[in-house]
Amino acid sequence: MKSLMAGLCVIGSFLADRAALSQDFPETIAAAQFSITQGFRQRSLSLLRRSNINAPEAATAALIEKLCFAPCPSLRTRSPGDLIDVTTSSWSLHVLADGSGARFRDLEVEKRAYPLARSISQKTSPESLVRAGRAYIAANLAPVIVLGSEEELVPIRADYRIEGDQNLATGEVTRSVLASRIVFGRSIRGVPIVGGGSRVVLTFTNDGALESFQYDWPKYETAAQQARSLIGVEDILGRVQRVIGVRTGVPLSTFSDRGLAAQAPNYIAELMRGTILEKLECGYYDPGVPARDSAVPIQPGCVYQVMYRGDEGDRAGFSGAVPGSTQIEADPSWIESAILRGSPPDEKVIAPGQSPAQ
Amino acid sequence: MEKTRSKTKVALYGTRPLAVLASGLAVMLMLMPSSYAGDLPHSALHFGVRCQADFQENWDPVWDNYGMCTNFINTIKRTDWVDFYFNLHGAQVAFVDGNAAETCSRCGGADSVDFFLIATHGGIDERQSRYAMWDFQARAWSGSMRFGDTGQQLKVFATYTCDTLNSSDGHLWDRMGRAFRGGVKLIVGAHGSVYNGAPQKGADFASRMQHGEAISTSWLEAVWYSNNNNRPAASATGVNANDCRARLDMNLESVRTSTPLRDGQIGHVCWREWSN
Repeated sequence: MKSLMAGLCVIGSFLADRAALSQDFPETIAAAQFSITQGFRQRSLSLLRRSNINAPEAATAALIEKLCFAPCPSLRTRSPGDLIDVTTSSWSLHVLADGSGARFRDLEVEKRAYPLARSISQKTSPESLVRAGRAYIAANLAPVIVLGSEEELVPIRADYRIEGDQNLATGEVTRSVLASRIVFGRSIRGVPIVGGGSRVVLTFTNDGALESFQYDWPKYETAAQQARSLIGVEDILGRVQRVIGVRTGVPLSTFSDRGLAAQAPNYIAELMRGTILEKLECGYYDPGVPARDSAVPIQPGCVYQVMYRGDEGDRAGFSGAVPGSTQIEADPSWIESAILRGSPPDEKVIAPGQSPAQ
Repeated sequence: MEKTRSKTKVALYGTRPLAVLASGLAVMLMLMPSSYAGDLPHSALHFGVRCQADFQENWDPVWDNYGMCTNFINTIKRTDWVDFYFNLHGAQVAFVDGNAAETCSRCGGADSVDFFLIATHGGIDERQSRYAMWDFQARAWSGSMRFGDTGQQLKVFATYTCDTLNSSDGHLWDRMGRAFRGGVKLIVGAHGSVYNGAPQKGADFASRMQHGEAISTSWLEAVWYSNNNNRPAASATGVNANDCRARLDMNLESVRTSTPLRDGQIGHVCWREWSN
């Protein structure tokens, strides 16, 4: 801990300068900084259970009412696998079979994006995107993006779709922004939901029209089990080292003492030579519908981002999450949970074979 | 669904233990792609997939990407041919212009298929992008690549690797121009970091393409949504800027039917990416 605090003192001013360049929101940056230096703000957290706000048919009907103005063109509806698909000639909507998520794409707006291209210096500000996003959600997604008591919709980050072109004869390069994206998450009694669950993502073209949205937005209820005690930041970092060791095939004995340093916009921790923990975000871990076992409760956890850089500059990123409570619930779909419990993960993967010619 | 070529295909079913399947391509079956309502009608393309998680003597760390590759194959095989799913043992020659392995399907050659997906560690210098092979400190180098003018004439080179489509330093064409000059139509990858985990991106990428989304959009969205910190990018060439941008929007059908641009026919390179 001593080396950790010394590192923090040295880099404070540098961090403040660089943080302003990031499109992560200040709250996001602050939460990540707190996570990597302190872990959780709480000593214990209850487990949560995911349920649905709407049946899929009700979610679909509520969305169509907002998306398809009279005279609504003919809708084509089908139900392949675990989706309800609704399409017209100009847009498509896919609703997850459990009703907790949907994806919408407006093809007409998408086509308009290029003529509206702007120079990157004129991109929509993150603050404007937050306002536009909140307004769109209130006007069009209120039946599906429902906040429970003590829950908040929290802006997380802004991203931009950039197009570039190089004239190979002249070497001239142009870059422009075609669309802007705002990501919202959720906090419950001040605890963020981390991972891919509880996200609303809205993409706007430069004239402010909505090009697409995607959300994963369940209802959370407190599970019946007792609250779980949370581990401290040193133990969290130790768990990250252990799972990275297993995932990268590197023995733990080669890992470094974890001194923190600054790398905007977050603090980083060196796990071993060439491998750094870039980011840690602690809260309730919900990886979202495609990645989770619906029968398992939502547990406290910390999402990590680790970057490896080899001697010659080869890079590879590792992301995942470690459980944050003393007692880890069995969750076969959560690989780190399985590693730390010593049980085999539920991996349905097939390794490639070797080319018979080599 | 037109089937352009008969070929022995790899069966990629089930959840059998990794150790058994890692020993090689145990089961070979003929498998006919079939489409669902809502799929983009297109002539079945030939896909090749090469992924590498571990590296000889651990010269690069293990990078668990087989989940993504498995999900990609299990989805795309519904509509298209998957000719091979190989690791990157001894694979450098499969990417080298003029090497016989480049057009050889049983060698996993890049120009032996229409659409090639590779997942491994990546990196760049000013003149080349590099892709880690399994063999100790071996890499495939973009400066040795020329895709799309021999064999099956590769149309799409998809690379789940860090950095290899970096454009911010102005050297994208210096690095990838030689590969493009052979006529490959799209190269998708990353202009910065990509993270492993979230293997569902493989299925998402494939299913978006099957539903008719542009290949570049399918890649950008599948990779970004799987981890918002991923930095996906897609690039194409064109006679001029408008042509280049239009070619960025090619889907599984138009990427087959559009005219390849080679050498002096290429006037522009263009790219699209998510960035913050």
